[in-house]
Amino acid sequence: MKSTDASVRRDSNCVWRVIGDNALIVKIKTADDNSVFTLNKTGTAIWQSMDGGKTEDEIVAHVRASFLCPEGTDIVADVQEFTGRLMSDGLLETKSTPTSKEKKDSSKRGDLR
Amino acid sequence: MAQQTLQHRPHNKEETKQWVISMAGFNLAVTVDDPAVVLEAHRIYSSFTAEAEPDFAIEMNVRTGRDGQKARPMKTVSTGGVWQIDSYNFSGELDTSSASARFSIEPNWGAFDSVLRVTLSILLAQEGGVLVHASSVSREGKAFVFAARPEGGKSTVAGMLNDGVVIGDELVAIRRGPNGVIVYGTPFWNGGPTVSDTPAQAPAQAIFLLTKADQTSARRLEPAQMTAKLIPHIFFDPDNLKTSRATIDALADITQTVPGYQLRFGLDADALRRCLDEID
Repeated sequence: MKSTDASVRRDSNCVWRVIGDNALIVKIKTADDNSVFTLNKTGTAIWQSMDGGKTEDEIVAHVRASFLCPEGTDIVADVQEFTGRLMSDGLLETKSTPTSKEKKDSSKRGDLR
Repeated sequence: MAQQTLQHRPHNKEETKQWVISMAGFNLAVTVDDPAVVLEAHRIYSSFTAEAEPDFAIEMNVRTGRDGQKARPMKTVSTGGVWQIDSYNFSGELDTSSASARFSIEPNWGAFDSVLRVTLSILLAQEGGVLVHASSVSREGKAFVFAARPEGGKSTVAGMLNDGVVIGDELVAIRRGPNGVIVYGTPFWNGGPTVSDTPAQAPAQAIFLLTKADQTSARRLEPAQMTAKLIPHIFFDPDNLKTSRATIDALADITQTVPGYQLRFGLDADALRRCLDEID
């Protein structure tokens, strides 16, 4: 995920289920060995938060609040790398959201009315 | 599932066009309009014929003018409880709310067999079950399931366990019920029209993913891992979101109840039996 203002959501052609601590994701239409994915506990938490309503910053904040991360952990980089892998596997679709600047501008315009 | 009030005739008359086939706890009232298909179906599926009150009705009418179609992936479209199904050797509609289905089929037992497989897989998914490419053997009343790809050892392992009762050697049904997870034999056996004389079933003890090896050993898999590895062995339409979701939910429930293992097996039957005894 390049921009911190773009939100991502799970691809609608994915069927998923949390089993224990692990999310199991199946990309349908190609349900063979290469289209079945399992995520660890952290990955599962990120996956569950990818509902299209959260920005990358909000997902990072969610991870930071949910897990005890060792000092020095670059959560932003980890989330970006993980998101990139999900994206390249075709498990996510992007959804444009207003950038911070646009939100600010919009807010200013509102002030002028 | 809604009960149907269908009347079925005795199954031992070869000319009977309607009879009941019992599979995995479902009693399917089957009606076929072609005497040749009826005759062959009676012969092949005779051990699964039941004197039972049907709970689902399947009507099959032999079609003309579409012979010789090439094999192609089956397509299913579901709306509510209705499935529109189109395959190279049959097509039609299955409605779970009215507990009935109607198909036009090619005039051969293969089309009849395809209808039964697809119908069973859809009904199973609705009721927390799956149809798995696996063999299964009942030992002391407990079912051991062995999933593998074609030529992966399903029949070999079933044959090595001659101290048990073979439930199936190609496709078995696994279904959750009030008494736990049960493994059912089906009429779908390796090599075509050869089925068990006596349909068998037993509570599931363990599910194995087979790998051929020199030595025999079993390694426990976590439910999520087991579910992921079993999906390629499940009989379902991966193009259909609804059946995929129901099937994966059913499979996940099963793997969280029944322990799963990666089984590396050699051709030493005693070693295989010892391995199963250790996890029994």
